[in-house]
Amino acid sequence: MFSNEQINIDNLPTVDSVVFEPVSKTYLSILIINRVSVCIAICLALFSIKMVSSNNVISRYFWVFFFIVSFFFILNIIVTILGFSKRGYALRSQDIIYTKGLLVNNVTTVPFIRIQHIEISRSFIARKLNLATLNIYSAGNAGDDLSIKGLPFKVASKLNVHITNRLNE
Amino acid sequence: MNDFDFSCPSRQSAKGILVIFVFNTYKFIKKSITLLLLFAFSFFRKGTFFGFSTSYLIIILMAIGLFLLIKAFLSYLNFTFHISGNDFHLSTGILKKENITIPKSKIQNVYIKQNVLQQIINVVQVNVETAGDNSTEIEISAVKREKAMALKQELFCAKESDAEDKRQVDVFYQASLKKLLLEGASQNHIKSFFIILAFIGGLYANFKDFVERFSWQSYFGDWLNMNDHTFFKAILFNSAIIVVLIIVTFLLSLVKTMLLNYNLQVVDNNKTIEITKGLFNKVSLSLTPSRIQNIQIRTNRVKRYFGLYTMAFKQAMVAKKQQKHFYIIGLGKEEVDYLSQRLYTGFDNGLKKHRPENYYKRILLLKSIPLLVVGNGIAYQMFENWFWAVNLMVIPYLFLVFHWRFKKAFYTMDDRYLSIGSGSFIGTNLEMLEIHKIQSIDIEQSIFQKRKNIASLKICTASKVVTIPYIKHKKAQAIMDYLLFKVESQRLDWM
Repeated sequence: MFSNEQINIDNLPTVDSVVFEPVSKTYLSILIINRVSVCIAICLALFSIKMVSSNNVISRYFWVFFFIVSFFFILNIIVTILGFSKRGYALRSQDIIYTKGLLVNNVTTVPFIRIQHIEISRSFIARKLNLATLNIYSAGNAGDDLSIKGLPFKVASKLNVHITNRLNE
Repeated sequence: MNDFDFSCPSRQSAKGILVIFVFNTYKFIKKSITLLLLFAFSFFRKGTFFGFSTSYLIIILMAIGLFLLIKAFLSYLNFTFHISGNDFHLSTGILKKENITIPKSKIQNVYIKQNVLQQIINVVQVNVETAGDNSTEIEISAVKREKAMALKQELFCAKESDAEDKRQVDVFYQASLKKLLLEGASQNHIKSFFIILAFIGGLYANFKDFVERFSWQSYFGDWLNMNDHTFFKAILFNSAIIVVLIIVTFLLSLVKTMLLNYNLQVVDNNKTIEITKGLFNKVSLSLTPSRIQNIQIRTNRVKRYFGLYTMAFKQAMVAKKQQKHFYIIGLGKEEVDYLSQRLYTGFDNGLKKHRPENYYKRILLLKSIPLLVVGNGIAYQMFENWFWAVNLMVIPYLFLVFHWRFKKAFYTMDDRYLSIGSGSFIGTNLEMLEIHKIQSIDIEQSIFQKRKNIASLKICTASKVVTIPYIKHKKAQAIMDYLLFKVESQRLDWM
């Protein structure tokens, strides 16, 4: 039966009223571990350059470099911790929404009918902590695929099944 | 309708051996160019090459040639294609066999082109593309033109190959020589100027040793050094170089435009729009309205004066190399309107234009600060105490750019189409898309924008991301809600 009623734009479902589901708190530890290991790697590199030869820019200004690295590391950690609460996802009946970012906040919505495929990926640490990443691929530009990081594995599987069922409808 | 039977596997034209051979040789030379140059260099300097004599070298080169020829022959033998039912099949590979199957319904493009060699031996190349990959899936390098046309018909238009095979085919647009010349002359030369400058700089850096070795410096160097003392003459010399470069740039743009768009022809079939163009590299491509994801209309100040517009079409994930052919230059206003109507039925040009917030101006201003600092820094290196004079030029320029950037930014929306205008002092762009082809939507808001309740809206289709910059957060959300509602309630296919 064909129908064509007028739609009141003010009554459309709005993204504004969505309550975002936070990602697992354990994921913060992965984020911190990642950043710490990057910082340690850079410091080790600096240190080994200083050890090997003392006659280059890095060795002469070793402490300057060291402080710059530490400064950005601390800044990074603070932003990460403060921004963690900004991470969240919401499942609606027609689409999935993901938000993240403290300094630059993004709210990305992908309608189910535009999803091409969906996968769960788990890094080594994520497996240990029982976390997972849900990757959602649309036909959009490669960089704009949605990946919800730090979901409890169970939740990720549930979402995976739910969305896959929606795709096959 | 056609005399060609595609149901049983067939090879390409036997001339394909030659095409493959030349392609492979070209690829081989391109890959090993540095190595070959090195060998040639050492050969000419020492007269021998690792102790090999000239005759040995000729034998080695001939062996490589023979190997490539045999390889071409084997590739030719092992390359067959056919159509069975609704699938296109291709098997290829000498040692590593490959079988490719593409359902007809997923083919997004059948693309016919002809380079100089192919023009001489009178064959065409057929590329078949789907939306799946960034590179061309299938390249059949030598097919007779009639066969290629039949194949294209079979693959592309099979869906509607009813009785109306020969529909009215009218040449909708043919670019005249005058239009092409005007187009070439009104390119953005500033951009190509800097590209050429960078190219020459790069060449010089690469061949610096070479140049010095041949002691050309002694010819030119003295002359240069002599003039170095007189500031005025140095400036004269530099401006002479720049004038020459500008003329070269101008001619290059002109020639490039002419070559790429020679004999540009747009044919309006019922279902598709066919574009043919090119002199040395003839290409012919079809646009299916349902496969177009974005349309862009470009012009600039000079072009608008002559009434010239360029229309570019974006499809999903087309190989970068091909993507750049999907445009028509030298269109007049009426033709642009006709084509937009033809592809986007009911597209309304007269909708209310919504503009970004004034915050956009402030962002542009902030962005100019680093530019000013760098500009002044460079100027200080060059002119020392007179460095501030640069600002007399730079500041008005920046002001013009920002003024027009802000002024030209707008978006319009109705229940089917979204269009976003942008531009700078010189260029003007209009980006159009169908709402039901949106893939995902993103609201972006920085911590500074949050205080002012400003956000940018990024709209992704399968071919690109367009941005509505710096509008009220509430508005961005309302647009997002509306677009999502449209996409999710219509449930239309995006290709």
